[in-house]
Order: sequence, then C-alpha cells, then structure tokens
Amino acid sequence: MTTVTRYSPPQAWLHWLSALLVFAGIALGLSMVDLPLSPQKLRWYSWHKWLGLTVFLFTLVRLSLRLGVGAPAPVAMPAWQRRTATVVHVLLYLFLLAIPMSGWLYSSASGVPVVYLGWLPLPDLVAPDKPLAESLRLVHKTLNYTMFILLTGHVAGALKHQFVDRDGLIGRMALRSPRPESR
Amino acid sequence: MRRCLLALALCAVAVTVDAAPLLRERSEIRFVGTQMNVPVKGEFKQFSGDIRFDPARPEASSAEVVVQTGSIDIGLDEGNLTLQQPEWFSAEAFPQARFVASGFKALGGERYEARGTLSIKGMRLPVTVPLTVRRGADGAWTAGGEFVVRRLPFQLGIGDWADTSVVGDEVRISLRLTVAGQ
Repeated sequence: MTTVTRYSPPQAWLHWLSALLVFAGIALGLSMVDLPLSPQKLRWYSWHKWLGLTVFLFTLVRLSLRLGVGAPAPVAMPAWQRRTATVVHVLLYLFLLAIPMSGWLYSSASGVPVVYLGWLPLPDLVAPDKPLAESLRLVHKTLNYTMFILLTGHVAGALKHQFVDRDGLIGRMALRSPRPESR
Repeated sequence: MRRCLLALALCAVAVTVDAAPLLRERSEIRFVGTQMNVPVKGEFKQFSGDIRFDPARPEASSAEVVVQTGSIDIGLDEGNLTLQQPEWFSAEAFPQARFVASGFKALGGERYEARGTLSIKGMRLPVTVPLTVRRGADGAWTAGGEFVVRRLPFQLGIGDWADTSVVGDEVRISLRLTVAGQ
C-alpha cells in the first residue's frame, strides 16, 4: 500500500489542536449556560470565550496555510464523496470563523466586554442591546448545533475511509511521518 | 452693648451655610468592578443625602449620602439579584449604605479632599474622597470625584465569591453629587 501524502506538520497540529479546543469549547458551552451565577460560571464563560477566540485565530492561520502550502492529493474515492468532503470542509472553515464571531457579538450586545486570556481587551463589536443579544444568542446556538452535525459527518467520513475503505486517509492528517514500510 | 453683640450673633448665624439636599436628577453614584479581568459597570439608582459646602470655610463643610443597597444595577438581572444576596450586600438585612464626611480639606483651586466613613453591611471603614467642586451657572454646587474601595473588608462577596481571581477586590467608585446653591 502506498503511503498517502499528508498535510504539513503545522497544518496537522493546528487541525488536531483546533479539534481539542472545539471539543472543550462545546463541553463548556453546554454546561455553563445552566449554572446559577457563581464564580465557577464566570470562569467557565471566560474560558469558553478564550477557547473560541483561539480557534478563530487558528482557523485564520490554517486558511492562510491552505492557500499558501495547499493540501495533499486526495485519496481515491468516488467523485460524489470527494465533492461532499469539500463542501463539508469549506463549511467547517466558515463555521469555525462565524461561530466565535457570533459569540463575540453576543457578548458585546449583552454588555459584557471580552478580554482575551484575561489580558487583552477586545473592542465591543456592538453597543449593549438586550433584544439584539437574545437574537445573537440564538444565532450562536444554531450555528453550533449545525456545526456539530457537520462535525459528526466529518468524523464519520474519516473513520469510514480509515476502517471500511482502508485507504489510510487519516494519514493525511498524521502528526508524524509514517514509518517506512518493512521490506 | 448687648444689642451690638446680638446683632453680631445674628450676622454669624445668617452667614452659616445650610446643608442642602442632593438633587437626584443631577447626581450619580457609579462604580466599575471586574470579573475575570472584564470590567463590570454599575450604579446605585436610589440614594439621597445632603451636603453643606462653604467655600470660605471648607473645614466646616460636611456631606452625608445614604444609598439604598437594593437599587444596585449592573445591567444584568441575575447579577443584580445576586448582589442583593447575603454573600454580597445582604440588602434585606442592610438596606442602606452610608458615606459621612465632615470637613473638607482644600487642596487648591476647585480641588478638595473629604475624609469620612463608609458604612456598608455593618462594616464602618475610613475613606478619603478627592472631590472637585464647581458652581454651575444657576448657582448649584456639583462635587465630583473617584476613589477606589476594596470590597473584601466590607464583606462584599464572601464564601466562594471571596476569590479575587474571579471578582476583583478593587472597585472604582465615581460620584457626582449636586445640591442647589444658596
């Protein structure tokens, strides 16, 4: 079996780190909203925003790398699968930018400024506005639920290729070079 | 002789400045605290008081401000409710906070220093408030100033809330107090 070509190490690292941060961000987001107001709730809300903004930054870098360095050749698959994958990937990039932005807008509209990592104050994107905040909360929530569906498809597709088609697809996103094949 | 002394006494009384009540619509008590290093702005919506300000004898001036703790407003309903709980202002048990200052120290120009006592939640602590006092076109006096207060000595935010890495200890208070001129 030929070794698949892969993404560059920075691309692969940012992909897996983003996955971790997104997972942690979703876990915090789902848990934190139902907490009664407490120091823990305030910590979780801040950490959730820091995670989201970091994913936003990582995604900008990943898009730059994608434009600069490109992507490895796709493994062989029917055209409709390749097209579906492209659509899902493009949507994921867009959601990874839109979701943190919607969260930042929501925070601003709620009258809560965002201070990245508790250190860098970010501008308020909109003035406090309770009805707008409620709309943005729904936008943020809807985008997240939609992305979750896309992520499920993304992961399912990757696992299908790796373990059903056995085409070594996940190797394209490997963090280290594959071992040379034994003679 | 007695009539002269009486006349002099009457003049002294007439020159003494009366305490004037705060004009609520031209006054405000605002503050900025922090949570996770994010600024939290708020104000007290209900307060009253009076100021006796004599520019000729600032050391004879005085001020008393009474704040309804239940009128605290940080723009977030759940936050306002929490701030009235026993771990915070305990507004039911301590419905009023009080600032009392006697004697303003002139610092030059329009600047003064009011030394007084801040009473919150049964705790009484000394506080020094720098004030700039100006007279408006209509003769009203406005005193404005800012000072930093630490919340923990007043038992504001106890238990889990005492963790200052979440809600900061320091709170910046800004005052604008206006009384009618005399």
